[in-house]
Amino acid sequence: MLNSYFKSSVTAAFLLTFILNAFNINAQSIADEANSVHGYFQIDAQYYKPDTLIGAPPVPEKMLSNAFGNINYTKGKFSAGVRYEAYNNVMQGFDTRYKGQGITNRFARYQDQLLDITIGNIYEQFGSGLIFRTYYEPGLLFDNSLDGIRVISNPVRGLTLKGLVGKQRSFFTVGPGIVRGFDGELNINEALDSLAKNIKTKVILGGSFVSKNQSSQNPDFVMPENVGAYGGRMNIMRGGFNFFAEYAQKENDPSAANYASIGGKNYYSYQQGDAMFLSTSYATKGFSILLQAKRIDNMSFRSDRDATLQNLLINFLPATTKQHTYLMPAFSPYATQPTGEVGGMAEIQFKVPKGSALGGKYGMDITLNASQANLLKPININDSTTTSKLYRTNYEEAGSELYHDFFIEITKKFSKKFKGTFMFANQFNNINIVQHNTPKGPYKNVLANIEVIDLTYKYKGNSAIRMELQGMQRDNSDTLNLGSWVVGLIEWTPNTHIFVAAIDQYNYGNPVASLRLHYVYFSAGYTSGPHRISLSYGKQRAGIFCVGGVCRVVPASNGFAISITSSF
Amino acid sequence: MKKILSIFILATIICFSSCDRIKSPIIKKNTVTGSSFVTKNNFAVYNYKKALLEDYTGMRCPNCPEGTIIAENLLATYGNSLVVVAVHAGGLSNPFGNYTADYRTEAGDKWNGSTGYGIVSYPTGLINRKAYSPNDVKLDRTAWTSVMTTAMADPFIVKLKVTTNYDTIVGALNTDVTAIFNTAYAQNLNISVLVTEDGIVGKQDDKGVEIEEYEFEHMMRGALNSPWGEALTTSAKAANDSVKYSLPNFNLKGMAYVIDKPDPTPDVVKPIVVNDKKISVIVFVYNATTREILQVEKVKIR
Repeated sequence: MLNSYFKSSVTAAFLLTFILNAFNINAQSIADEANSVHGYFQIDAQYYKPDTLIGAPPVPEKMLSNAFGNINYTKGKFSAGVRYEAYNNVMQGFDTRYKGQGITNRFARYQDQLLDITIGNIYEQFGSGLIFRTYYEPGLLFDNSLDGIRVISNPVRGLTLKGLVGKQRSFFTVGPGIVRGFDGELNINEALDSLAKNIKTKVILGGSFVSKNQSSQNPDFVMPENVGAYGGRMNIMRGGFNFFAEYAQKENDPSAANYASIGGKNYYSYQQGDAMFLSTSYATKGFSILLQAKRIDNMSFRSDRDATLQNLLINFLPATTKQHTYLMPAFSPYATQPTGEVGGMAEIQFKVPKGSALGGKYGMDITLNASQANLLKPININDSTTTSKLYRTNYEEAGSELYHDFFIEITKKFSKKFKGTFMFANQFNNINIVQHNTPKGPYKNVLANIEVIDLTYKYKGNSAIRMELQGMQRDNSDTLNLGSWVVGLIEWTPNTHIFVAAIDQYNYGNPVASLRLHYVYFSAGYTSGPHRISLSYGKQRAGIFCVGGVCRVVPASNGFAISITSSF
Repeated sequence: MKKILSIFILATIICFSSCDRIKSPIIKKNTVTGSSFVTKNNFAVYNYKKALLEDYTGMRCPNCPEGTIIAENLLATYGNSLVVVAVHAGGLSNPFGNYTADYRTEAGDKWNGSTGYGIVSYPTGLINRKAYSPNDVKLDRTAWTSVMTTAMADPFIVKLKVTTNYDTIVGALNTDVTAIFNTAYAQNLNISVLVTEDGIVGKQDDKGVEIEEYEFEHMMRGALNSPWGEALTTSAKAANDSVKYSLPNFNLKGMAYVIDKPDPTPDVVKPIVVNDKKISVIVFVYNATTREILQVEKVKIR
């Protein structure tokens, strides 16, 4: 399979080159919009030094690197692209099955008023992604693109139909299962055209069906070789008000996600899965409110029933927790639990007006956010020798707390040159389940208070000094969760091209005195037009990195790193 | 035009998209416990490499008797080094008109179907389920003899010591296998256990002529441990390592061919009645990824 995938990739690359030549395009030049070539390159490399104190392991290769480059060509209604990826070898913290190099993505697309057809690697999303979303996230090295065919059609005004079929990317090959999907979306206002042109309320309805096929050779269980999932959605908008609701259901899908070996016997659950996502928001000048709710039960939907971690996911379950950028609030992020969770988020943002007692001369922005996630409360069913559903859940019941994050963030401009951001957060994290997927792990639940002060002094037009001070107070007797931290950062930007920064993360609350370490890290970067190069040196602590509730574990490291990005 | 095209796309996609609702997920094991056993084994002949020829055939297949003759000639040439299994599957095995017997099995359907080898012409042979260059894995009968010459040169990786214990009263069949590695082997292996029956007399088409009392040999009557067997080993093995496998209490007198029907139609269950005096157990071990068969053994149970 690997060979055939490479052959097809190489063939595609050859064909693309041939097409580019046929159109007499010089890949280094950018022509007009109807006839253009664009590209993006990213190269990351790190030299690793072992450090037993922080737990940075020895790396036999000493230096590891990740690199990729996209080249996309457009001519009128036709577009095509390739992505080359190289891992020599893959950097620490990523799946080691990314090994080697090659063309991992290639597509060709033609679209006119009647049809929009794509062949090759396809990125697509139905609704919020509850039953289908393929995307690429290089920060996670996550790519579940569908290698196949997609057809989009707009047969009548306001109606969009999408159909696709293919196999999903799995490292340098494709997974064993075939994915078929169909989505229809009706924009009622557009469809009604003149009748609805004076109606301020806009309504969009949608529905999807996705099915995966994988053969089975299991001697003990009759496995469903075709597993279907289906859902409907509604979006209502009026002025600053927006309401979105989506519900999806998945048919019986025994898989590694709902498989257990108990007392020497193996059990699969044939329970159906379902997911609900609600989001409503209202925004007006100086004020906005966002309310989200989500309930997921048995919604790990993959094109290989034996796949684990982030491999071969067909769907995406949106995160209803805040994704933080400051180091301490992002220390223990939340990872979506596809097997079961219920939760939500509320956020209010408002601007204290200029000239008021609190707002002062420049006003003040305040964000209040609260998010929470709990387990479901499964009720065991004794049917392991018959229907093998094994459990059921009720909508009105929730299980124990997995995560909460309550924070207030205030951004205040004190003068033309000086501004600051101040945050206080209270977070709870059930580390065993959220980060290690086991209810019986050795970790204690973590409750933390976090403070952030971020001050920026702009001493000249494009020149600034920024300083961060962060603190996180946790249980200082917990040897596995490492206790409390304090962080200091200073960043100097003398002009728009250069930055220099130093950061110190100090684990002052570590219960083991010899491990109360400073993780000092220096970085500097240069930006010129579409090019950016940055260098860094120092110690990085072990942690979790998440994007949209999808996470990867980052091990501790010590060494020198370089990153280059460039686009044209 | 646009509407027609879109409806076409919709219909096509819906046809391709489907899902299976499983009412009874647990595979019911056909078992019975015996007390008085006849013991047989292959200890005299297990110490050399053997090949498996699967002859995909059918009672309404006019060219299949010719394939059977080729298989019998190969058996005469290679003796105990070759095991032949006749798999009755596909459209020409379906009872129709005067041909009322049904020799199909669930395992045969799986192997013959799209998740197996997608066989559409008969007879087709598989030798060790391996593509011997320049041939495909599926072989026309005219290629069987030449491919067998190549297959006999395959390396001898694993030996199989097979013992059967059969209770003639209740029909309980116990099969015990010890796989002994001749050479190191790193890949996952599955093990399949089948039963074949000789001397079944029935109707057969022979180039358009109905033969009333055709004698079917080596007919596959069922796979005892699921159509694709079970995992034998999932870890690398060194030379002289051994792995034991047991399949106890199989009820030879309780076999059936079950035809799945969509709800609410009940499944069709056709009992498979065998003459245990003509039954042999076939055991083979194959690469779980490539499906290449590394070794096969045959033991007559009484």
